[in-house]
Amino acid sequence: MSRTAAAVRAPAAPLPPERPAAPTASEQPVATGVDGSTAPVILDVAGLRTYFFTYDGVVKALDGVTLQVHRGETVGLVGETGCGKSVTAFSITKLIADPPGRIMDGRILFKGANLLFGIEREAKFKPIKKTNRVKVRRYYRRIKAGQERMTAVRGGGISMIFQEPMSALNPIFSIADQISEALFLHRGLPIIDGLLKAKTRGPDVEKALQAVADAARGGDRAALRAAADAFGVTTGLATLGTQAYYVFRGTTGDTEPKVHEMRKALKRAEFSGLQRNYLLTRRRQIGLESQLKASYLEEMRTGTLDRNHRRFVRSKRLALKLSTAYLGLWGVRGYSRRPITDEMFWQTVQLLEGVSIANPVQVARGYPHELSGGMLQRVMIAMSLSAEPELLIADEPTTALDVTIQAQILELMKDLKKRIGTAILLITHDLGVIAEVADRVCVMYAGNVVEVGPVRDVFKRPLHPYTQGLISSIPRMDEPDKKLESIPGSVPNLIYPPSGCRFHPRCPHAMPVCREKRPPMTVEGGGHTVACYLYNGPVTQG
Amino acid sequence: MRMWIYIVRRLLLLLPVIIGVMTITFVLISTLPIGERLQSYYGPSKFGYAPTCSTTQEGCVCVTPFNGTCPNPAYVRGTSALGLNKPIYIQWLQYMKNSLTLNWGSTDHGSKASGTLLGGSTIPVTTVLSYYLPYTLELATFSLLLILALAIPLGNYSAVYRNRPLDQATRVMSFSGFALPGFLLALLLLLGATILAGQFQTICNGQSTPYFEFYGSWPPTVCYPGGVGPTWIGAYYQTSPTGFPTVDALIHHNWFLAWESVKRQILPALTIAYGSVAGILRFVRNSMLEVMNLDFIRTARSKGVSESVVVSKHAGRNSLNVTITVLGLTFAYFIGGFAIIEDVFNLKGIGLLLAYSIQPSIDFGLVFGTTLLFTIIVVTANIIVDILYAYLDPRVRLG
Amino acid sequence: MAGKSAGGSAPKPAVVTTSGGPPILKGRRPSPRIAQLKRTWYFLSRNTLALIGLAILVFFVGVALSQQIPSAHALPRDSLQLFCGTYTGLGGGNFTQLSAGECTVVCTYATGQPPPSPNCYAVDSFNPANVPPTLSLAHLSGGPLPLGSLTISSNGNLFYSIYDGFLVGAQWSLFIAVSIVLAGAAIGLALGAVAGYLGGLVDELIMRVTDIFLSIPGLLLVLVVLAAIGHEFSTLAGRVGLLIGAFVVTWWPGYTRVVRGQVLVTREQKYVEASRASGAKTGRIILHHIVPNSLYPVLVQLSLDVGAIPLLIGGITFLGYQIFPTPYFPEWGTMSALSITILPSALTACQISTSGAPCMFPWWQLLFPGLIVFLFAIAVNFLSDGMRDAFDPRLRR
Repeated sequence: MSRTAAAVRAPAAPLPPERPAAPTASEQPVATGVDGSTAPVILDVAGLRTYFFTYDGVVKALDGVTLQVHRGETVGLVGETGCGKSVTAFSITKLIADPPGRIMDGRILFKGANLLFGIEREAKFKPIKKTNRVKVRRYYRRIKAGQERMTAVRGGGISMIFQEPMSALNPIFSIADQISEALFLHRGLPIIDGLLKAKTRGPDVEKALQAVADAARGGDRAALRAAADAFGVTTGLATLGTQAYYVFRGTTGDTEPKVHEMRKALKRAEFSGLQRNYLLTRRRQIGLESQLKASYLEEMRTGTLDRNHRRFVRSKRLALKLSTAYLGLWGVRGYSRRPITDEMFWQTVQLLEGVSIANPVQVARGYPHELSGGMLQRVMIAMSLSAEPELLIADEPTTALDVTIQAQILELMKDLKKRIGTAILLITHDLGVIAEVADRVCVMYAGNVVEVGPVRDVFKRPLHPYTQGLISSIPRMDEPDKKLESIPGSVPNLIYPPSGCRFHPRCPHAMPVCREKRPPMTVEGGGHTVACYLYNGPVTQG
Repeated sequence: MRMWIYIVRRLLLLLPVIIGVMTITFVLISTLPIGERLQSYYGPSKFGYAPTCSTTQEGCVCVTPFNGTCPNPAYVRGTSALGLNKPIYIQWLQYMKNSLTLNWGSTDHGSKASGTLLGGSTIPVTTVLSYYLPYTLELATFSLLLILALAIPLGNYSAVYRNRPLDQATRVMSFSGFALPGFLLALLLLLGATILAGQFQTICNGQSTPYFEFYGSWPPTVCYPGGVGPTWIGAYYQTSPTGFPTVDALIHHNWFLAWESVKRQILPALTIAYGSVAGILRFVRNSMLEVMNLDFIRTARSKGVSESVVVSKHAGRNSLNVTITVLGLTFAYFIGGFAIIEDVFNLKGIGLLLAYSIQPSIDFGLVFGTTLLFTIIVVTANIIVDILYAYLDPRVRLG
Repeated sequence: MAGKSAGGSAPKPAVVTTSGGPPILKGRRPSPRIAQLKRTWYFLSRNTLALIGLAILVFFVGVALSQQIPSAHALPRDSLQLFCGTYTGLGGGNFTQLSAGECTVVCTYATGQPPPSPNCYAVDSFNPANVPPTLSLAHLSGGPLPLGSLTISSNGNLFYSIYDGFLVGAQWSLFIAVSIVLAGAAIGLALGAVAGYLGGLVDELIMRVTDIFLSIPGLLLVLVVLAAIGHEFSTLAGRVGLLIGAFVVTWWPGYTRVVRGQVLVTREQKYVEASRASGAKTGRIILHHIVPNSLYPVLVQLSLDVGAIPLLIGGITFLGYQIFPTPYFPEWGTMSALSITILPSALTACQISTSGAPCMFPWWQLLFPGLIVFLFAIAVNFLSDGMRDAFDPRLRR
C-alpha cells in the first residue's frame, strides 16, 4: 500500500504506567515436525466444538476442529457447503449467534491468549426427556463479559471479511464513515498524534503548495503526485498530500481557487481551543481504552479475571465521558471533531487507493448501495486491513462475485499479502482459489478437519478419501473424455451425525474401525497430516 | 437537490388524498335530508328550509351570511346555491369548490357544541376551528414527544434483552395501555393524580369545584351539571400572536400561564402516550430484532466495535427508519382518540368540538368540518414523516 | 447415552446411528401442515401470557355460548325475559316482590290498560327504555346488592345488574366484534391479494383508495358515518348493522394494506413462479397459493382488532352518541362507558334519597364493566402476540 496507514504509522505512544506490562508470551515455540513451517504460530485452534441448539435437535456443527495458522502464511479452509467452515471462522472471533449456537469446548490461542476463556461457565445444559432437544440456561452477564473481552482482539488482531459484500455494510452510513470507525478504533492514537504534530505554516509549506499548483498546471499526473507527496511530507501530515492531489487533479488553468481550498484544508491542522481540547480528551480516552483492552488480553492470556483493574479503568473512562459531556451537544461535537473527521476521511481515501479503487474520493463519500459487489468487497478489504491485523479471516470473499471480479480480488489479496504480511485464513469451497492463493490447506468435512498440508502436496498427493474425491471431481481440460467422478451419498445430517469417522458412510475404503472411533490426526511427513485409519503415522494432537 | 424533488412529489400526492377525503364526506353529506344540509351550510334560518321556493314565499331560506336574520326582502333559492336540484356531480363539484375555498358552513346554534362552547351563536365553522386548533396541535406535539421518548428506548432495550425480565415487563405494560379504554385510563389517571395531590375527594361533587390544580386539568365534563365546565384562558381566548397557548405565553414572558398550560397537558398527553406506546413499542422491538440479525451488524462487531455502540449507532439508526414509518400510521390512530381525551380533560380543542357536535342534536357543519381538519392534520403529519424518512435513509433520497 | 443433567457439560447425542440421518420413524409421518400446527402450538404453549389470554378468551366465549339468543334481553321496551335466579326484594318502598325460582315476564303497557298477562308487572310505559346497568341504588337497601340480582324501583324503572349485562353482553360484544373483523378481513384479503398480485394500475388504484381511507382517523370516520346516516335506522337490527357497517368501512383499508404487503413477498416465491410456469390460471394461483400464505399477519391483526372494538364502541358511547335503539344497551363497551357517564346522576340520586347519610361510593360500578372490557382486550392481545412470535421463524429461541 503506497498510501495506506503504513505510511503514516507513528510508533504508538507508551501507555501510562498504571500497571506493569506483563511479559508478552505471544510467540509459541516453533512447531517444527508437525507442519514444517518455521514461522511462529499466531492462531492455534484445538478441539473446537460448536453446537447449535434448535427446535429440531442439537446440530453438532463442529466436533473437535484443530488447525494452526503461522505468521504471514495463507491457510485455505476448504470443504463443501455445510461442512462447518464459516462456523469455524465465526467461532474463532466468537461471532456465533448466541441463541441458538454455543461454543461448547476448545481452546483458541491467539498470540498466547485463549479467546475461549470462560466459555464453560457461560451456559448449563440439560437434555429434555423424550425429545432430542436440550435446554440451555445461559448466563447472560458472563456471555456479555466474554464478548467485551473479544473487542480487544477483533479488528486489530483478527479481522474478517464476509461473503455477501452487498449486505455487509451499513446502508445508512457513508463508506468513509464506516472505514473511519474502524480506523479510529485501532489507530486513533497515531492519527491524533499526527494531527498534533503537523506543521501548517512557514515558508517551506508555502513553497511546497506552490509547487503542487505548478505541477497541476503542467498537466502531468505523475509530477502532480510527486509534488503532492512532497507537500505532505513538508507539513508532516501525509493525508494533506493526498488531499492536495485530489483537489488539484484535473485543474489545468486557474489554480487559485484550489490553492485557496488547500489553504483552508491546512487550517484543519490548526485547531481552535475547543478542537484541541477535544483532541486531547480523545487521546486520553484512547489511552484508557487501550489499557482496558490490554487488561482483557491479559485475562485471556493468564486465564484469571482481574476485576479490580477493569473496574478501575472503566470508572476512569466513565469519569472522562461525563466530564466531557458538554462536547456531546449536537453541532458542537461535530465541530470539535472536524479535524479528526477530515483526517480520517483522507486516510480512508488513501486506503481505498491501496485497494486499487479508481476514484476513491467519490467512493468514500458515497453509500454502499451505490457500489457494485466487487467494489464493495475491496472496500471491505480496505476496512479490515486498516487496523493492520495479524490475521485476516476471509469467509468466501469471492463466492458472490463474478469470475472476472473474483480474479481481481484474488490478485489484490495476493498483492496485499506480499506488502503487509498479514496471515490469511481463506475459507472457500473453490479449490481453484485455494490453488491460487494459499500456502497451506485444511480440508474439512462435516465439522472435522480431515487433512492438512502444504497446497502442492495436498493437491498432488491427496491422502484422505474425501480429499481424493474432491480433487478428482474437478473437471479437467487435459482429459476431456474422462467420466466426471463424484462422491456418492450426501452430506450427513449434523443432528444425527454418523458415528466414528463422519465420512465412513460415503467412503470407498471404509473399515469396521471407522464406524467406532474417530480417527486421530496423524503426520505423514512434510507437514502433511491426515485423519484416517488408512494411514498410521505418528499421532499429533487432533 | 434530489431531496427537493422528493418533497415536491410527496406534496403532489397530497392532493388526490384530500380530494378523496372530501369526496367521502360529500357522499356522507349527500345522505342527509335537505333541511339538514342547508342548515349545515348556512346556519339556522328563522324561516326554516324548503327544497324549492318562489321569490317571496315564506319558508325559503334567507341567506344573509352568518347572522341568521333576514332583511326584507332578500330571499334566495338556497337549493340552487348548493346545487341541490342539480345532478350529483354538479353537487360534488360545488362541494369541492366550497371545501377548497374553506367555505365549510356554519355551526348550528341549537346543538350542544354551539350551546356550551360558543354561547349559542352561529359562527362559520372555519372560524371556530381556527380558534380551537392550536390547543389540539399542542397536545398532539406534546404527546408525540412523550411517545417517542418512551417507545424508542424501551423498544430497543426490549429487543436487546429479549425475553428477559425487562422485555416481559414492558410487554405487559404496553398491553395494559392498549387494552384500557381511553376514557377509563384517563379517569384512572385523574383519580391517581387526585390521590397524589392529597385531595382525596370523590371525583364528582355535584359542585363545579376546580381541584387538583397541580397535576391535571379540570374534572371531566360529566361531573358538571349540564356538562358545562369552567374554562381556562377563556372560551375562545384569542391568543396572540401564534395562537398556541404555551408558545404565546412564553412570548409574552408570562411564565405562570405557560406553566399552567403545560400542566393542563401533562395528564392528557400521558393518557394518549400510554395507549399508543404499546403499538410503537412492539414495532420498534420487532424492527430492532430484525435489524440485529442483519449482516452489517456482524461486520461492525468484527471490527471491534463495542456492543453498546453497535446497538445504539448501527442497529438503532437503522430501526429508526422503520419506526418513523409506523409513527405516521400511529398518528392517524391516536388522533382519533383525541375526541375522548379532550372530552374527559375538558381541553378546548377540536376533539372536544367533535365530541359535542355528535350529541343530539347533531351539528353537521361541525362534524364534517372537524373530520376534514383532522384528516388534513394526519396527511400533513404523514408527509413530514416521509420527508424525515428520506433524510434518515440515503437509499430513499438517492434513489 | 444422555448427557449429565446438571453441572453443565455438553450432552452427547441421544441417538447414535451408524450411517447418520434421523432415526427411522415407525408409521407415517404427519403431513407438513399438521407438523407446522404442532410446532406453533408448542411455541404458543411455552408462552405463559398467551396461555392466560387463551384461557380468558375461552371463558368469555363459553359465557357467550351459554346464553340464550339475546334479542329478548336487548329490548326492555317490548318484553323482557328475566333470568331464573335469585330475586331479592328491597325492603321498604313500593316494591313488588318477585317469587324466587320463577321465571316471569315483565311487560309494558300504557297506563290505564289492564296488564296483558297475570304475570306481568307494571312498568311505567313512559320510561320503558330506562334501564341503566347500575348497582348504584345502594341507598335503597342500605348496602351493595349481590351481583346477580335484579331490582325494580318504585316508579317501575327496570335495572339490570352488571352481572346480567356481562352475560348478555358477551354475546353482543363477541358477535359485533367478530362480524366486523371477519367482514373487514374478507374484504381486505380479496382486495389486497388482487392488488398485490396483479400490480400495475389496479394496484395503484386500490392503494390510492386505501390511502384516502387510512388518512381519516379511525374513530372519526365511524363517528361521522354514524352521525350522518344514523337517523335512517331505528330498529335494533338496523342499528347494529349500521354499527358493523361503519366499522367495516373504517377497518378494511388496514387489512388491505397488510395483506398486500404479504402478497408482495409471497408472489416472488419460487413456487408461485413454478405454478405460473406450469400453466395455472391467475385466479387459482391467488386462491390456492397467495391467500393461504398471507393469512398469518391477517390473523394476528384480526385478533388485535377483535379486542379493540369493544373499547371503541365504549368510546363512542362515552362521547354521548347513542348507538343502539335504547340508551342502556347490554353490550360490554357500552356498559363500561355508561357506568361512568351516569355516575353523577347516580351519586345525586344517592344523596337525595339518603338525605344526608353518607353514600357508599359505587366502586363496583366503575370497576367491573371496565375490568371486563380490559380483560377481553388484554387476553386477545396476549394471544395475538403469542401467535405472532410463534409464526415468525426468526424470533424463535
